[in-house]
Amino acid sequence: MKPDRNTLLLNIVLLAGVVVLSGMSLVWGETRIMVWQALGDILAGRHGAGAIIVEQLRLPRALLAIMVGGTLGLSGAVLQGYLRNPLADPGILGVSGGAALGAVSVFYTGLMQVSVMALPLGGLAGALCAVVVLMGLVGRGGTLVLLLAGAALSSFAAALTALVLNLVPSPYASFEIMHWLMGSLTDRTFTHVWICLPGVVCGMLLMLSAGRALDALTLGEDVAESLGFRLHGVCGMQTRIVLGAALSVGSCVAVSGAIGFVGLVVPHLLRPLTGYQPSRLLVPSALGGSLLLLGADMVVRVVSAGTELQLGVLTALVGAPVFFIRVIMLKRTGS
Amino acid sequence: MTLLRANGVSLRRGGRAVVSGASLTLGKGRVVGLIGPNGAGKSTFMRMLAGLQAPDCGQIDLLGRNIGQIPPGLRARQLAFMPQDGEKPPPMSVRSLVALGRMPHGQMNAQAARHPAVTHALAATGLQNLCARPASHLSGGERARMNLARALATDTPVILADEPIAALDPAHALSMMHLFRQQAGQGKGVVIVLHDLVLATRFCDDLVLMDRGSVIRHGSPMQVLDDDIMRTVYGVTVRRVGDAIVPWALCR
Amino acid sequence: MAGIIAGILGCIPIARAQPLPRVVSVNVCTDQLLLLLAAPGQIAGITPLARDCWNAVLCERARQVPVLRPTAENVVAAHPDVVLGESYTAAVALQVARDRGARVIVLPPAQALADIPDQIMVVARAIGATARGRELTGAFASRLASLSTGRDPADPTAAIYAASGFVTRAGSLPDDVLAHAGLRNYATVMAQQTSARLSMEMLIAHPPDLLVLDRSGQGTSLAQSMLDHPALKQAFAGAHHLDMPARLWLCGLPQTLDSIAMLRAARDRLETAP
Repeated sequence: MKPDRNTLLLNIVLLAGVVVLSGMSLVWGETRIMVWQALGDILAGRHGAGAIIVEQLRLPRALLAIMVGGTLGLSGAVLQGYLRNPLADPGILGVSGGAALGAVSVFYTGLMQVSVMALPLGGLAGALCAVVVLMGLVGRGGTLVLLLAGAALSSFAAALTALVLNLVPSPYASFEIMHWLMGSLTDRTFTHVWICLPGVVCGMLLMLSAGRALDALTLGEDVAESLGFRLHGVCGMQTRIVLGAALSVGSCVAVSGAIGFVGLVVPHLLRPLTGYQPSRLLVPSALGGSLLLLGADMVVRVVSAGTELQLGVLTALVGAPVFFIRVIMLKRTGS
Repeated sequence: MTLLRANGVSLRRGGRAVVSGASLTLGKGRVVGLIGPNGAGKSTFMRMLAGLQAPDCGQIDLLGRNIGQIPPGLRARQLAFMPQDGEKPPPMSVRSLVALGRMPHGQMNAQAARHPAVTHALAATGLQNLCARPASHLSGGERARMNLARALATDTPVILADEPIAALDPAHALSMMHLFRQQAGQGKGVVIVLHDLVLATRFCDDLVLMDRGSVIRHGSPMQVLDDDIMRTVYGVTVRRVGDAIVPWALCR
Repeated sequence: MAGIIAGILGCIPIARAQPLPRVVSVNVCTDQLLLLLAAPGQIAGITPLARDCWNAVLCERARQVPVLRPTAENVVAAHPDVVLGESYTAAVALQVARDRGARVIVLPPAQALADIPDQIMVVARAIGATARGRELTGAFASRLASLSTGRDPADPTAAIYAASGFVTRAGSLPDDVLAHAGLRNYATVMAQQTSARLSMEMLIAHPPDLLVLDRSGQGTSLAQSMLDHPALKQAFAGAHHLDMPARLWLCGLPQTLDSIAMLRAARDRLETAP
């Protein structure tokens, strides 16, 4: 059948893009280094300047771009499918904001000294609270209620984040609000990769497992349930999606800050290429998210001289126009 | 043989009895029409019959087994439910949406879309020429037919349809009722919520009349619909046209 | 300790003749100069920052004197005879104090080691502790002479790397400290760099001989955690890095000389290490 082959082709193209951009982001940075020599050094276990730059600075950064972008793209696609609303995005709905609040509460208060895993757990707790509040507020409320609830939740979480940053002892904390609200991958370490990984893997698997149910949901909740899917309850789809999104977004935001619009833009661009079928959109959205973030991070590294541009600024520059287009479409159709 | 049996089913919501003590029996090869004025509790009763809503008391058996104890996957292969037309469908192709009906059988995407039951359902609902079109571009009537095709594609012994012909013009309404009849002719059981009493008397074997949450009468159309009932339940007087009754004027 | 007692004893005759001026300081650097020079009871208030051991070397001593937040209202309410401040801070408080008839001494931030004895004497004269001031400046001069070394164009380079990736540039007190310790400031050597911030990648690709990590501020933050990045640990292992408490050279004080001693020791280690 054609759509299946198209999706496969799309996945292969996106994957190839991710591989190429990852390679480029290892080679291309602020300083010119001999990459082949650096790779040789890494393999031989020598700590030359090039080896350190590639292994300790550029590699974790590229891996995090793949993980964070994939998570945001996938959770955008899943939330849009589940809420049957193309404007659903972890950033717009305040899930990322909640995660940032949770992570900030752990990072600056010294709870992280207890265990590094406290950081993603803080992000998870914040994201989970945000999703639960959101689902409770919205119910079957429709697009307007969803967006209002998301806006309220985001600004509330941002205010609390600013408050926490003002109250904590570090004199630098209050200047770091931009990192948490806009996101950045600068100077991340392999520790960040490791603490982010379990949540990302588990969360993504949970969300991918909901693919078939998302298809069934296109015709409404009653049809989905009559087709044999459990939506509510402990093992229901809702729990899986909420937990999956909270796990992965929480872990990612804990290390990268809240990078917006990836979950909005990527599914929006890829949806026509997947026949508008939610389950087909999931893997391409994850790959597309990785691709977008890798690309954005490369631009950030090249453009910024001295003071580094926040990654979220770039994704917002790309994403906000899509948001505008969506709003205009919403006005036209009136739904 | 009884396919679906509800016995004394009740449901309270917000201190109000939405359905109280409703019963219904659906046999093989039968079409049962569920009728009654707006707000009588028909849709809620249908959702309970479909196993989507557990009743507070009373029992519903699907193929002789309590519907609450049937795993959802198995239930989906025994009963197809067509809810009242609500949301706008996504721009997926008509064929891929109809193919969703194969999910209970574990068939997905290409495998499902190629399945003979899907092709058959598309043909039966007259959608074969529209099967590549985005569902968001369909008219109300085409959408109703697509929803029916999706239910038919699952190929279940029991079909429940909540107001399937509400959005249809007379020709399409008639052809859809023929389709239900045809399904019953193949040994299936069909329950339809209807407002068109002319079609109800013509196409249903049995009618179940609900008012304010209770089943107040059931039996053959002739037994259920008499002038008295029409006046007290619907508040209209009727005129008989052949063997069907037609609502005629509002009661004073 | 003996020095303090001597200072206090030295003050007593003057105190009898004329009461010592009550002094308020509105800046963490003048706070510490005041703590070094003033007699007990003379200090009407210093800033709360002086009690923060991350910023102030005399934080312990600061706990024994009253603190007040450096607002105009607080300063006026304390009725000081002399108010000490720095050029860029609490300008309104200083102006109000001036209007109320207090003597206001404004010191610029120390930009070189040579500024330190001058500033000590300015404060000492203003608060009536000239003898104590002379004593401190004398000790400072002799210690500086024993520590500092001649400059050589072949001296090893050192980068002072602070939270958020800021490097210390020429014309600052830490820069002068480097010079006295026989180190060339990396920021001056890499003159083509226009920004005050330097990425880790640049630092590793073009490494200085010594990386001086400027440790400041309590708590945890992204800016501070940058200094602990494993890439820096790996690229500047052993003798090639030095942790420097920022409080030593945040203000020009006699204790600033400790930083020269630390840097000299680090420089010596560089020469013996590979």
